[in-house]
Amino acid sequence: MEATLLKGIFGSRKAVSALSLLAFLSLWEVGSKTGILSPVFLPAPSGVILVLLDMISSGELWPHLFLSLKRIFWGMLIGVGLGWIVGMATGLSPVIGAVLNPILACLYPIPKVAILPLLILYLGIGEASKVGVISIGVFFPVFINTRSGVKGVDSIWILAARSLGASTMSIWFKVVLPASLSYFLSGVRLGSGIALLLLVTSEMIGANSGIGYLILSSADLMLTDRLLAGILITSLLGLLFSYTLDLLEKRLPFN
Amino acid sequence: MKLVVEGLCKSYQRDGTKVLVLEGLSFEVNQGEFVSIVGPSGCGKSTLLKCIAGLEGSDEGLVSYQGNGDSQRPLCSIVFQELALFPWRSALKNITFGLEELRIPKRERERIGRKYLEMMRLGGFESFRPKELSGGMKQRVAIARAMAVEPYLLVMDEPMASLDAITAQRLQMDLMEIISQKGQSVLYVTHNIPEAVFLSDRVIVLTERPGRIKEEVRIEESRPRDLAFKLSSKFVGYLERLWKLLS
Ligand SMILES: Nc1ncnc2c1ncn2[C@@H]1O[C@H](COP(=O)(O)OP(=O)(O)O)[C@@H](O)[C@H]1O
Ligand SMILES: [Mg+2]
Repeated sequence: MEATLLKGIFGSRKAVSALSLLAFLSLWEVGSKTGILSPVFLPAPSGVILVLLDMISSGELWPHLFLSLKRIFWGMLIGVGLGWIVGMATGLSPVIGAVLNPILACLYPIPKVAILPLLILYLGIGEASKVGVISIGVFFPVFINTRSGVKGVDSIWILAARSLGASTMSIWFKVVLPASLSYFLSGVRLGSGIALLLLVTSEMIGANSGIGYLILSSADLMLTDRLLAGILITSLLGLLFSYTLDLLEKRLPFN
Repeated sequence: MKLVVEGLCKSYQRDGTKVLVLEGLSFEVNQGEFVSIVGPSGCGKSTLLKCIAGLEGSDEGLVSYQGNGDSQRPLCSIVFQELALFPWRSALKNITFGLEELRIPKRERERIGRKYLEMMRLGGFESFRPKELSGGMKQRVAIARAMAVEPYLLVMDEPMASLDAITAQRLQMDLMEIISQKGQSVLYVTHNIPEAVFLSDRVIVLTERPGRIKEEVRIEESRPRDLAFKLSSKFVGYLERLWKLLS
């Protein structure tokens, strides 16, 4: 009896995770409310939520969130698209691989933030440089993962397709593409983390809008609760991306 | 149509040296005939099948199909030793892969796919993915996939090697019935002598690598055959002869 009761409470991992999160937040809340944690440095979670709700109801948040989402959307779209195309091409064709791989290998290790000033110089301080740096950051993990996925496709599948009369195009789209899809998606997953990082960074350098700007400007004014609200939004965005990718991956026939 | 193989030679490069795998093979598979190839592991059986299916080039010799037939129909399709089912496709969609390449409309494809699925006793498993199927069922899907394109020659590479004895026995019986009924020409590789004797009109024995033809044994018994043949003294006589050739 007792055992089943315990199992009922702790047997479910989800319940344990929720409890752990709740305990963490309660400790924080109590710490802030009793003054153990200075509210200037670490305001209570309830305070952060209130500020966030306030920004939502006053409409202050929406333009920032909208612009950030727009930048990350275009950046991801371009980066993922190019990464996939170049990954497929270099994986499938030894010639294209020989041409592009050395160049890309030299560009890969550069921290993408370091390119940002150059992009601002070329493209101006506006949207293009932000979208550009996100695209470049997302491009590399997608490209590298897709290429290794394509190279790792079991050659017996290609032989089987050929023996069933498949054309080269069919082999690319009906064998290599589905067989490398899970690699591609983990590239996208890595890329989405980088995209978020570059979004916030680029919005902190000479921007007057976006979540990154919200965070930096709050810090300048010592508005720690607004700052934390901004961080909370980036965290929620990250969770949203990984949740979406989880859904996509579950729909893949591999899992 | 009839498969004619003449003087086939094939070698692989390994560490800069040439390793001869097949040395001057010549044989034929007539329309409707079931021919098995037996030989020790590594003697080049899979290589031979890949050369015949046009998936590997040969160094010397000729693989041709003689006779007049419908040019739309594929000459040959192959059931691989490794099966090579597409894990991202359902059983039915695996079977219809080749039909898609033949530009057959979707409804017709599915009708044909289901027909072969039923024939292989897999009715009801249309939507199952390969990893949800047992070894024997996967093998049946692989055979159905190769047969669905209706090739002149069906090539099979050790299709029963990974199956337990009971599953293999059932599949052998079904195969005997389907192949004999359709009058399908088959080139079949195995290292299981009783299986070769039971299924074949002719058994070709290869030597150790480099593979050459050691002997050809004709199995004089009309098909379809049943269990009674497997228990007959005639069957045992063939076994004895082949085992002597291979030891
Ligand atoms: N792609 C390859 N490259 C080099 N050697 C190969 C290749 N494929 C097969 N071989 C060699 O050719 C020989 C025959 O192989 P295989 O045809 O698979 O034999 P079997 O099917 O009769 O067991 C083996 O010695 C094998 O190592
Ligand atoms: Mg083999």
